Amino acid sequence: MATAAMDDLAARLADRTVSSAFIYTREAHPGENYRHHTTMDDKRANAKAYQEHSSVQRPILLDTVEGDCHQAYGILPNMTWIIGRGGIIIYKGAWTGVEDVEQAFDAYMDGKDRQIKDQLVPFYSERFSWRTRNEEGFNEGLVRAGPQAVSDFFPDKKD
Amino acid sequence: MTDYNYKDFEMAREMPPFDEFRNKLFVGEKAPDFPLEDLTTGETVQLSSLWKKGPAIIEFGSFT
Repeated sequence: MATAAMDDLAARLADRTVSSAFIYTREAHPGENYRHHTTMDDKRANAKAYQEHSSVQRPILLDTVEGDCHQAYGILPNMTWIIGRGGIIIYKGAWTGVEDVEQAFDAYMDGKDRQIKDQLVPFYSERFSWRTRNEEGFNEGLVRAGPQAVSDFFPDKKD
Repeated sequence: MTDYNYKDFEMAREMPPFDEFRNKLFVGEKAPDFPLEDLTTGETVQLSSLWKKGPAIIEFGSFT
């Protein structure tokens, strides 16, 4: 995940009255060291481990054990959503691409700023986006979670 | 207890459930609100409190 870059974005936008948060979901790749959650204490413990390891600066908000919020928003492991003031969804990203999030936010705010002067009206669109894949970091995360997480993701890999 | 918190990751079973993402909520719709627990304070906060005064950027994820 792009934790530091998302923290930087949150810091840059904080003076524009933008709130940012990280919602802690189920474990995407549970292993011996960070197991799946059966209780809120499990979830709290893994979230605290993530907080300490990543030094994430944004508030971490814990979903329920059954992931009520996560499931309502589409259940993907690392989505990002932008919600406008008042609660209208203005962006949904299947994955977190920091540049894409920032571009979407800036485009939305630019339109809001110029809406009356330039007679702008919003419309719905979809597009394909890009993100940087940190393969080394991802593999390190699997190892950190435990051997099971590695073998689950690479079932054909032999030591 | 449902199988939401799977014990082991299985590619074909868990990835990618894109239909759940693509077909549930749309840009332009009202975002659903949920109570969540602030990890630092232990207090329950409403997700909607994030977008009360301005826009909100919300990332979902886990350690693993």
